[in-house]
Amino acid sequence: MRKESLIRQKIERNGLILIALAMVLIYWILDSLVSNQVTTRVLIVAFVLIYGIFTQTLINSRKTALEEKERAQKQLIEAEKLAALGIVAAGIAHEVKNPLAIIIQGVEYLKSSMESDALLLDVTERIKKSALRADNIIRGLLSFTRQTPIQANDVDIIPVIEETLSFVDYQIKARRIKIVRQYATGLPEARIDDNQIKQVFVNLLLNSLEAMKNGGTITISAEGLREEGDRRSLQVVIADTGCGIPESVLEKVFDPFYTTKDTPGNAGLGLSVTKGIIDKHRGKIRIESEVDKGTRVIIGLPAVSPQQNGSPAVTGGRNE
Amino acid sequence: MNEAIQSEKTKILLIDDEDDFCFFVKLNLEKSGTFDVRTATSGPEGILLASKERPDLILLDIIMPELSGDQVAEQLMENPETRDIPLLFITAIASRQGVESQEGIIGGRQFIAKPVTPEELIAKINTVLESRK
Repeated sequence: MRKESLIRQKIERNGLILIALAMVLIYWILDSLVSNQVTTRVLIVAFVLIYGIFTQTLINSRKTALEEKERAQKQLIEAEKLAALGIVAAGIAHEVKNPLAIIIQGVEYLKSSMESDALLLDVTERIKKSALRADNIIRGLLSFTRQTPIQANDVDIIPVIEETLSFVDYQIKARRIKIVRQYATGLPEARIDDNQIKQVFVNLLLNSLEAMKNGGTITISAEGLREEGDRRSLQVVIADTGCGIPESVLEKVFDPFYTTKDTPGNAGLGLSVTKGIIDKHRGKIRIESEVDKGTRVIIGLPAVSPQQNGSPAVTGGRNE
Repeated sequence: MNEAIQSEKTKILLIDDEDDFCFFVKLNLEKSGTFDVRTATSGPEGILLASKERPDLILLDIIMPELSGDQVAEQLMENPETRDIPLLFITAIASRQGVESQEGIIGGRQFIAKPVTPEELIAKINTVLESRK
C-alpha cells in the first residue's frame, strides 16, 4: 500500500510538471499568433489559467476516486479477515476457557488450604492473576470478532480510569512507573459502555508499560471539550515517556495481528480491539509518537451535553 | 460416586466432561461445608445420577460429547423425577462479560461463564436456589 502511494505521488508530481509545460507552450503559441493588443493577451492568460485549473480539478477528482476505491477494498479485506477470525476465535475461546477454569478452581483450592504461608499465597495469587489475564485476552478476541454491541450509560470517567489503573497496579510498581493525573474539574459524564472502555484503557496502559522497561512516567489527563453546537465530548489522553513508535510502524498499529512485541501470547490485537471499541462508541482515537521520547494516545468519547443532564461548564484544573 | 448425599447439606450434581474441572469444583464446594457434590463426566451418566440422587441443583456444561447440555436438560425435563430440579448452565462458550451483562439469564436459563471462582459459583448457586423457594 505504501509503495502504491509513492508511485501515485510520483505520477501526480510528473503530471503537474507536464501541465505547467503545456500551459507555457499554449501561451507561447497563442501569443505568437495574435496581435499585441492588451485585452487579447489578458484573454489568453485567462484561458491558459482556466485550462490549468480545470486539468488540476480533474486530477484531484480522479485521485479521490482512487483513494475511495482503495479504502473500500481495504474494508472488504478486513471484513473477510474478521469473519474468518470469528470462527477460529469461538473455537479457541472454548478450548482455552476450559483449562483456565480448571486452573482457577485448582488455585483457589490451594489458596484456601495454605492460609498461613504468605509466600505460597502470593505464588497462587500470581497464577490466578495470569489465568484471569489470559481470560481477558480471549474476551478481547471474542469482543473484537463478534463486534459486541455497546451498552452505553452515563458514567463518571475518573472512577473508570482509576479502576483500570488498579488492574495494572502490580506492573506499575514492578517497573517503577510514576503516574501523573491531570483531571479537569467539572468533567461531563461520558456516554460509554464502561466495561469496554476499561478494556481500552488496560490495553493502552499495558502498551505504555511495555514501552517503559526502565521506568518512566505515564500522564493521564481528562478534559471536556465543546464540539459543534452544544455537543460535548470527553478527551482522555494517556501519555508515556517510553521508547516511542517509529513513523513506519505508526500507520499499521491499528491493523489486526500487527505486533512488534516479541512477548509470548501477544496476538497483536490490543490496538485493533481498542480502535474497534472506540469506533463503536462513535469516538475518536489517534496516536502521536516520537522515538525515544514517548507516545500520546488521544481518545475522544461522547459526553452528556448540558441539555441532557444540566452539567456545569467545564473548567480547567489539575491534580497529581 | 455411590455414597449417599447427606440430607442436611445442599446437594449438587455437576455434569461436565472436563474431569479436572469436576475434581476441583467438588473440592472447593465441599470445602465450604455447605455442599455435597456428585460429579458426572458425560450426559448419560449425569441423567442416571440425577434420577438416583435427586440433587437440589444441577450444574450443567453445554458442550459435551455424546449428549450436549441442551439435550441433557431436555431429558431431565421429560423425567417427572428430575423435571423440578433447578439447572445452572456453566459454560465456556459465553464470555463472563456477556453473561454478566444479562444478569446470568439467557433465554430464560440461568448461566455462569467459565472461568469462575468458587465464591462466584457459590453466590450464583445460592441465588438460583433462593429464587426457587
